[in-house]
Amino acid sequence: MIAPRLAILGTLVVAAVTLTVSAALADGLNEYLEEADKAVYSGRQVVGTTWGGVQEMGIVDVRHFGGMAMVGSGPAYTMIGQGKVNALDSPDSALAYVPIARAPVNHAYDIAGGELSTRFGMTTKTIDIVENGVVRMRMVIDTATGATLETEVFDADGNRFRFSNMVDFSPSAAGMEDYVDDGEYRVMLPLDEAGVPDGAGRYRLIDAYPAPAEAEHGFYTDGLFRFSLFAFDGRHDVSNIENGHAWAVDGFEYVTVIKPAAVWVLWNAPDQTFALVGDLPPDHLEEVVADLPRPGQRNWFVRAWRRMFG
Amino acid sequence: MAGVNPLAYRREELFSAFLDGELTKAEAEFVNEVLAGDEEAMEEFRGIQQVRRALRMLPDLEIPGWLLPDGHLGEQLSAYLDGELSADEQRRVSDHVISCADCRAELHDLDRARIAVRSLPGVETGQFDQIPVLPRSRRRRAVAAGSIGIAAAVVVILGLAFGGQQQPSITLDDLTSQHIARASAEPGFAVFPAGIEISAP
Repeated sequence: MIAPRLAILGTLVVAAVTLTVSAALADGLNEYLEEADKAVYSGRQVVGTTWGGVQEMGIVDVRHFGGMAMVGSGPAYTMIGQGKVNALDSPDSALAYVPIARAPVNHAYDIAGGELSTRFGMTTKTIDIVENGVVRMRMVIDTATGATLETEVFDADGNRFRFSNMVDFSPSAAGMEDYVDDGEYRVMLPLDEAGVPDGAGRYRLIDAYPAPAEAEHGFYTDGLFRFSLFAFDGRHDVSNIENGHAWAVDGFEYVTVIKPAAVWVLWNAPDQTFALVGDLPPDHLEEVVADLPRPGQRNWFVRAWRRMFG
Repeated sequence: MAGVNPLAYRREELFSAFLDGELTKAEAEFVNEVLAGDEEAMEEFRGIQQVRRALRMLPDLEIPGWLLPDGHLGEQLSAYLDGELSADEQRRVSDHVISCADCRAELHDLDRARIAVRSLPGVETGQFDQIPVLPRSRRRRAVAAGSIGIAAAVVVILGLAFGGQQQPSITLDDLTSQHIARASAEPGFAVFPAGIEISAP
């Protein structure tokens, strides 16, 4: 009886060692990201995006506790985290997503930097996330809490196009614990079969969910950046979207809406309308839309046939 | 307990409970006051945070399923769908559903049943005795009406072919909520508040 037990013990030890080594090799980035999610803090954050000559900036109060963030400005606060969103002034619209698949970190990203400095009287560490020798994201992290105090995101040429700065910071989140468990959520389950593409550019489909107007919602990430693609049947009007700007890729026209922390891209393909929102750098976004159905129209005969007979 | 300062011990317990979100509002406010006014307490608090971070970085060792009793969630799934679980319980159920195909399938079934029940129509009385019968004497008018119908159909077909039949505009607000909610399930959400509507400074 001793030999089988020793064999099992040996297997467990080998598994534990293997897990430790692989975690150390592969999860450096994930560790920083997960630590940021678990940090307890409150503060005020300035966020901005510069895209195609358009600059959008905003300021938001953040309280972070128990893996949930209470964000907002003025009286309109929203609880976000762990797949859930709950606008406190509109609790009927609370959503809770069940994620089924998990994305591995894209191995094209390396970690560099590590210099120590001081912010708000606290020791901080600067981490660079590097892709093919180009810094794509720089994070300044409070070493005590793991909170990200500053973030900069760069395009393929090294130009900064997005930033966030804590302009006020405290390593506590008083009062937030009252809200963490609040709210009745509408649970969103992944679809058994997805109609949205399995991947685009370097991003792969993680989950797909139902969306308003019988649309389908695909969620994609490369482990660092992420986007949602909403695919609607038919042609919805995207030309009158508020604050829309024209954006051309390979001669195709898209409509973009620049927000302080994200960019929307909308377009009509022959049979469908697409709305994409995410935090991708411009070059990643160009790769993504190049892999998705392009803007365009069917010829009149096909349109008439499809409308009459489906 | 010789050598242990009961006050310091109590403070450490309080800090741990604070980080676990287990304090009442009054207790949490007390901790905040202590942290704001006592540099030594802040150092201790950060020390506890660092120890907890180090512990969290230890690798998880997955226990093989065959070593566990039947761990399916049963009635908890229904409570989960109804939003009746606490945040901790929701997290546990989510984590389990990710790895358990049986519970995932059961969750789908429950959700489908819930949607089906919600979409049941109200009972209406039948109108079968009111189907109109076209009288023979009106056949001529019917032929004329048929011709008009064909002409109208041609107009509709041409309209379909050449007209730009558009669905309504898309509103981004609901879609933003969906994106933010799903994105927040991934690591690193706190690094950037992924598209949250933010007012201009």
